[in-house]
Amino acid sequence: MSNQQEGIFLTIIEQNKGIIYKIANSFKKDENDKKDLVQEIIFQLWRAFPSFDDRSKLSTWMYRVALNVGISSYRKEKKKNDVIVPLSETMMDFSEEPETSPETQLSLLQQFINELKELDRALMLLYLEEKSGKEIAEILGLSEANVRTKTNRIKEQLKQKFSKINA
Amino acid sequence: MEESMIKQLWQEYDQKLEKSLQLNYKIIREMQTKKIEDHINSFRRNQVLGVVAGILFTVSLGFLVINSLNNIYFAISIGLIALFNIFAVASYLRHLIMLERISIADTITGTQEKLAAIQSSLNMVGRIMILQTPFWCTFWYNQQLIDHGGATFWAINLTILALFTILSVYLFNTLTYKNIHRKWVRSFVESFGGKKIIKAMEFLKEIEEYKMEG
Repeated sequence: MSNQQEGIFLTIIEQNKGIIYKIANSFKKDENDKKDLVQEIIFQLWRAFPSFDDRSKLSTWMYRVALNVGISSYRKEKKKNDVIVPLSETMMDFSEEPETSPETQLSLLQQFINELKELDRALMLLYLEEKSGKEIAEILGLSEANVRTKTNRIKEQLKQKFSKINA
Repeated sequence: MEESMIKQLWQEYDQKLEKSLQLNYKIIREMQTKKIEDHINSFRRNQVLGVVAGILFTVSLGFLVINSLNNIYFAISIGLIALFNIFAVASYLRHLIMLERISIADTITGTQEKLAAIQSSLNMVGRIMILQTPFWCTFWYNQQLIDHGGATFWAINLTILALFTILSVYLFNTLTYKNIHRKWVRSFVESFGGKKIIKAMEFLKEIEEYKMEG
């Protein structure tokens, strides 16, 4: 990768660091596993970056790679003490830890997402990221009608979940 | 909770992450110089190992066949076992070619479906490999045994051979995904390292259903 390409790549990662973290957070529970997954997503994005072309939107490409890595990693049984990279530091850190107290509505939302099956989880993340039905369909490889049906089903489940808790 | 409130909650989360997440540029740059273990490719690595081990084993069997053409029973049995192993090596090579064609940047269902299909097809390879079992019962036959083995000897041997043949054909037919709900089938496949294969087959079915919904 040339210096110019490397610069572009780092800018893309900087602009999308939130979604990378959110995907890792949705597919891994353990903190170290999350860090490993962040690393793996960035690594796969870096590997795939030279072959990115203008046929799809950059965000579509990025979500596809990140979610494919997230789902594949989730489906792999991880061995104990399995270290992906012998790097001394992590690729992404918090300057200050965000609030994650179990009482917050956000924690409940995250818990709800984590309980979904892999493909529904991917769909829900894209929906919350305010991706259009068309783009979600392009990322997941489904029809727009299928995406609409599934989104409505998951939203309904989510509403019921929150209303049960708040009742 | 209303939909708009859920989205607002998510946006607030996004803003918090934006503020607090920091990228370690030094480490990201190090990716280019350090050898990173690629989890996506760990399956590929196992397939390469399978191909190498399979080729070595098949070549050894071929060598044995060439050097024992005077014993037709041994040559045919080992020759057929070699054919089964050639099939396994060919399947592993086919998996590697299929893996090469998979792009991580393709659609989620497309990529995951292809990955799961490759893993699931290992079940077919295993089932076909079971069919070689009877030939492991015949490779030690020779002309002297045929001529002078005696009725009792052959009755016992042919019974054992028939049992192994029936058993291997039965296992070939039974160890399929449609029978995975049977406890012993699941346990049998799992005990031979097929846990991931079962998961892949289940996931494949899930993806197919997922695409059909709506």
